[in-house]
Amino acid sequence: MSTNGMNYSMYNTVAYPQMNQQQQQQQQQQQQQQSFYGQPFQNALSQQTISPYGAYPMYSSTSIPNSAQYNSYDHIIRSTAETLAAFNHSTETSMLNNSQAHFNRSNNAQPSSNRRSTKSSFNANNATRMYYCETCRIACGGHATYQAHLNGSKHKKKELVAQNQQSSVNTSSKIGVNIIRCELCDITCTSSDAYKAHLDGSKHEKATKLHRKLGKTIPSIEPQILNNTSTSSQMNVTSQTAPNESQTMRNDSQQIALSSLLENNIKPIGEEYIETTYDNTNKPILYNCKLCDCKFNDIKGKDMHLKGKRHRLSYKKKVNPNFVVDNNATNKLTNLKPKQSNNQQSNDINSNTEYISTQQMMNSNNQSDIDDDTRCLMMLHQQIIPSPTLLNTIEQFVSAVESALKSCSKQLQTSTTLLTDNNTSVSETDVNESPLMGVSRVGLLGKSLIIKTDRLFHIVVLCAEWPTKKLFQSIAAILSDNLDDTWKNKIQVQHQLDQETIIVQTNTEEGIMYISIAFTSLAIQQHDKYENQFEEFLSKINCLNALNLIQSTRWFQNQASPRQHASALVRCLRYKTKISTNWKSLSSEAIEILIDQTLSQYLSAVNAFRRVLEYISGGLVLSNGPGLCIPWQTDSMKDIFENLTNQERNDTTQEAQLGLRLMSYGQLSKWFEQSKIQQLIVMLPKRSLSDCDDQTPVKRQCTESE
Amino acid sequence: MRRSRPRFPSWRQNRPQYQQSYRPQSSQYQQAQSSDVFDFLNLPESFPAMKQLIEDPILTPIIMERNQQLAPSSADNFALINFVTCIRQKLDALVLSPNSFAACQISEVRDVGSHKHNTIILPPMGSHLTSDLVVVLKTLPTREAIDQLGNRLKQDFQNEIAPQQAACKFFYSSKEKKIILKKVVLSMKPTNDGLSLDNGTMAVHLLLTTLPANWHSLDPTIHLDRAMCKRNFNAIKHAKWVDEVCIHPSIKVLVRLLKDLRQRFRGLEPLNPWLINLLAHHCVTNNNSTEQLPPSYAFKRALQLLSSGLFLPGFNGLYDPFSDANMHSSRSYTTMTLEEQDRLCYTSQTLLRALAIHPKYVLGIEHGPDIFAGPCQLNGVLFTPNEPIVFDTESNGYPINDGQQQTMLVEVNS
Repeated sequence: MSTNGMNYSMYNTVAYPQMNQQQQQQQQQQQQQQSFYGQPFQNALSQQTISPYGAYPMYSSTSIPNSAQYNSYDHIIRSTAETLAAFNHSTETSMLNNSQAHFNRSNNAQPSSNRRSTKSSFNANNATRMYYCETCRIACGGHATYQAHLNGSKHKKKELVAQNQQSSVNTSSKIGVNIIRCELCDITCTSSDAYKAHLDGSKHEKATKLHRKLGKTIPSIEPQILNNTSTSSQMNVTSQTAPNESQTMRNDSQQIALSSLLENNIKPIGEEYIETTYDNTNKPILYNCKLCDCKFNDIKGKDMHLKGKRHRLSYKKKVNPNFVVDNNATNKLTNLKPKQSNNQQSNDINSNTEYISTQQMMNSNNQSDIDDDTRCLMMLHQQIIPSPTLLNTIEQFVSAVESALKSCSKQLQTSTTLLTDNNTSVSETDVNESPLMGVSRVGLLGKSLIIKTDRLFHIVVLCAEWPTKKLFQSIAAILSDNLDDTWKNKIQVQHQLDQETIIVQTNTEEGIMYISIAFTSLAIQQHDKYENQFEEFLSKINCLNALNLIQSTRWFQNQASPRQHASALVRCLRYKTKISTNWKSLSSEAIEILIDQTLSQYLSAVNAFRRVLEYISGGLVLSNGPGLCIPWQTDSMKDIFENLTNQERNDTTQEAQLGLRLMSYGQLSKWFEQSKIQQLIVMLPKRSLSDCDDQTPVKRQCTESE
Repeated sequence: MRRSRPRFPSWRQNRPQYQQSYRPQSSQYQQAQSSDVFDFLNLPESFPAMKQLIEDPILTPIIMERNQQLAPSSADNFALINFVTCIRQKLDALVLSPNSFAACQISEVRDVGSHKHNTIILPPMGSHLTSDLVVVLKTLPTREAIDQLGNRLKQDFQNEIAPQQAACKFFYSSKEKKIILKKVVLSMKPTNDGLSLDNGTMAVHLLLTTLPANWHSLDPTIHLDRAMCKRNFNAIKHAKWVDEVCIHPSIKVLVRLLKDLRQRFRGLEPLNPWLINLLAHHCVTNNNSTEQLPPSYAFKRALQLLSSGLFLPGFNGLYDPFSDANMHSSRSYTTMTLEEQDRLCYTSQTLLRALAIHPKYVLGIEHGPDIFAGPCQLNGVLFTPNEPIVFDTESNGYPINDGQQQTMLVEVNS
C-alpha cells in the first residue's frame, strides 16, 4: 500500500516541471492553473486524512465498538501521507532540517571558543593576503595597517572587554535584556526583530562575505539564546553587573523577550506558497500568500506571516494535515473552551449538565426527547459507516488503479515523443511531457462520505490539453497492462464510449466494486480555441462535469468537512437516498450544500438535520421554489436542482415532509426504515380513521398500475 | 383569569431542569427545544434566490381571478348589512331600555368577524352568508336567558316586519326586476356559543358572553361554558387588532384565499379564523423590508411555513398578541391537539406540492381529481398525498386548556 502511495506522489512530482513550462507560456492563467495544479496534489495528501470516521465526537463518545479500528484505518492512511511527504523533495520542512543539520555540524566541528582568541590569522591559500583581527572582526589590507590596528586604542579597548567576557562568559552578555546574539558579528540584540534586522543588514552581509572569503566557518544564523534560565543566583549576578537597571523592569522584559523568543523559534513554513511580484529592477515589491490569500509589501511582514498561527493553520488544513500547530500560550486559553464543550457534548449526552443547557440556550422541559433523535442518528451512523476491511479494500483498489494510471502516463510520455517525430500536429505545445497531468479522487472518495452500500467510486484524470478520443482509447487499452501483478487478474477494464468513462471493475470479498475514470482538462474552460475541431475530442459536457466534480470535492474538503458533524450528517442523509426510492434523485452535492448551510448557523447536529428537512419540506426543491445555487461555481448562477423532473421534485419533497413530521413526533427512526412504503400500505387498514379504509384499495390499484 | 405569578423571576427563565417541574408536561411529543421554523425570507443570504420570487407571473393572475370569485356580490353584501343593522337596532334598544326586558341585561354589542373586516367570502353551497355580533351581558348567560333574548329579538323583528319587508321588496325588485313576495320569517336557534338568527338567505350569529367579572361564577351546567365566554370575549379584542393592523389589501386577499382553502380542504380545519388572520399578517408584513409582500408570494409563503412545521410540536409557532402570557409561551397553536397539528401540517404539505404542479387546482379555479383521496395523476405527475402519522386514538387526550385563547370559530362554520 505504501509503495502505491509513493508511486503516486512521484507521479505528481513528474508533473511539476511541465506545469512550470506552461506558466511561462501562459502568463495570464498562471494563477489559476497553479492553484488548480495544487488541487489534485493537495488532494492526494489530504483526502485520506481529512475525515477520519471517528471524527464525529457525538458518535465516538458512545463507544462505537470499532472506533479503534477506524483510528487504525486513519493510521494507515496517515502513514501513507507521511511517506508521500518524505518523497516529496520540495517539502520545506525537510529542507530546513537538512540545512539545520549542516549548520549544527559545522558548529560542532569548530567550536565557537576560538573566536575569543585575539591572535590574528590570515588565509594562506588566498592569493591576496588578508589580515584579520578576530577580536574586532576587521580585515586589514596589509600587514602595516594590521599592526596599526593592533596598536590602536579601539582594539585595545575591545581586547579588554573580551578578556572580561572570558571571565564571565554568560553573565556579562546578559547585561540588560540582551538575549540574542549574532555569533558572526558579535552583536547582541534585544529582540528578535532587531536580530532579524541585523541579519538583513549590510553589516552582517559584509561580515558573512568576509568570512566566506577567508574560508572561516560561518556560525549558524540561529539566534543564540544567552539567558534561557533565570535562576535567582544568576539574577543576582546580573543585578550586580548592571546595577542601574531596576529588578522588576528586567523581570518583565525578560519574560516578554522569552515569549518573543518562543515565537522566534518557529520555523517559517510553506515558503513555496508565497508568490513574489518583482518590479522592473527585479526588486520584490509584493508577496502574496496563496494559502491564506493575503498580501505583504515587505519581506518582514511576509516572514512574520509565515511564522504566524493563521498561516500554519491554513498550511495544516490545505497542505499537510499531519503538521502540528502549537497553540501559543495566549491562544491556549481561548482554544480550551470549545474543546471542552465538544468533549462535554460527547461525553455527557445523556446527563443533562447545566453546561449543555446553557450552551444550547434552550429552555427545555425534557432533554431526553432531543436525545432520542440524536441517538437515532448516532445509531444509524454507526450502522452505515463502512467496516475497516471494506475501507482497506477500497483503498487498495483505488491505489492500484491510480498507480496503473501513473505508469500509463509514463508510457504515453515515451510514446508521444515517438509520435511527434512522425506527426507533429499531435502536440505542439509541450512535446516531451505526458498528456496526463494528475489524478484526483472525487465524489465519495475525495469527500470520504462512503457508506456501507457504496460500490462505485469516481476518479478524474486531469489532462494537459483537452483529452482526445484517441487518448481516451489508448489509455483504456493500456490500463490493464499497467496494473500491478496482484491486481492484473482480478480487474476488468471496460470503456464506455457514450459516457466517455473507463469502468474498472473488480471482485473483492466485499462484492463487486467499480471505479469510474473520467477525463477532463483545465483547458476546456477557454473553449474558443478548440471549436473548429470538435469531433476528435471528448464531449465538452462530460469534461465539464468531471471538472465540476473536482471543484465540488475541493469545496467540500475546504468548506464543509471541517464543520463538526458535517460528514456524519451527510452520510445519514445519503443513506436515506439509497433506501428510499423517493429520494434517489437527490444528489449528494445538494445534501452537502444544505448541511453546510445549516451547520454554518446552528451548532447542534440534530437541529441541523431537522433544518435540512424543513428546507426541503418548505418547497426548496419544488419547481416554483427558490432554487439552490452551487457555491463552488461562483461565475455561473446555476441551480443544482436544474435537471430534476417535476415528478422527482415532488417525490423528494414528499419524503422530506414525512421525515419532518416523523421527527417532530419523535419517530425519526421510522423514517430510516428500509421498507417504509410497504409498511405504510400494510398499516393503513388498521387505522382508526374510517375513510382511510376506503382509500387503500384505490391506492394499491394505482401503485400497481404504475 | 390570571395565572399565579411564576415562581421564578424572568432572569431565571433558563433554569436547570430540576427546577422546571412545575411546568405542565403538555405531551410526550412536546419537544423541549422549540425553534423558529425555517423561512426563506428571513434567511436571504443563505439561499440566494435563483429565480425571481416576489412577483410570480403564474400565480398572480390566478389569485386575482380567484379573489374576484370569492367575494360575495355587492347586492348580497348590502342585504347582509341591512339585516345586521336591523338586528343591531333591536339589541341597542335593549341596551338603552334595560327595564323592558327582564331575562338579561346587555352591556354592549360589537361587530366582529369577517364581515366587519371585509374578508367575507362566499360560503359553501347550502349555507348562508353570516355576520357575527358579540353580545356582552351584564347578567350571567344562562341557557334560558339566551333563549328568551332570542325570542324577544324575533318578536321585535316580526313587529317591524312590514316596513322591513317593504324595504327588502323594493331592493330586490330594483335589482332583479321581479317582485319577491316571499314572507321573511326569522328563525332562531341556539348554538353552543349563543344564538343564530336566520332569515332564510343570510344569518347573524350572536356570540354571547358576560363581563369578565362574572366569569368566576359561571357554572357549566346552567350557564354558557366559561371557555366559550372567554373565547367570545376575546373575539372583541381580536377584531380590534385585525381592524387596526390588517389594513393592507394584500392581507385581506390572503385571508380570503386561506379561508377558501379551509372550506375546500377538510384537513385545514384546525386553522381557525384567528389563526388565519395571524398567519396572513405574518406572511405579508413580517419580512426583512418594510414593504408588504404581494399576495402571490405571501400565499406561497403561508403554505411553506405550514409545511415546514410552523405548528408542529417543537416549533415556536406564531406570536399571539392576546394569549395568556404566563401560559405556555404566547404561542398560537397550543389549542390544537397533536392529531390536528399533524393534519394541518400534512394537508398543507400536500397542498404546497400540488401548488407547484397545478396551481389552478389548488386555488380552486379548475377542478381536478381529489388529491387527498389517494394517488392520482396531476398534470402528468403521479401525485401521492401525505399520510397522517398521528391518529386520534394514539394521541393521549391532549386537554384543551381553558386558559388559552380561542377564536371566532363559528365565523365560517354555519
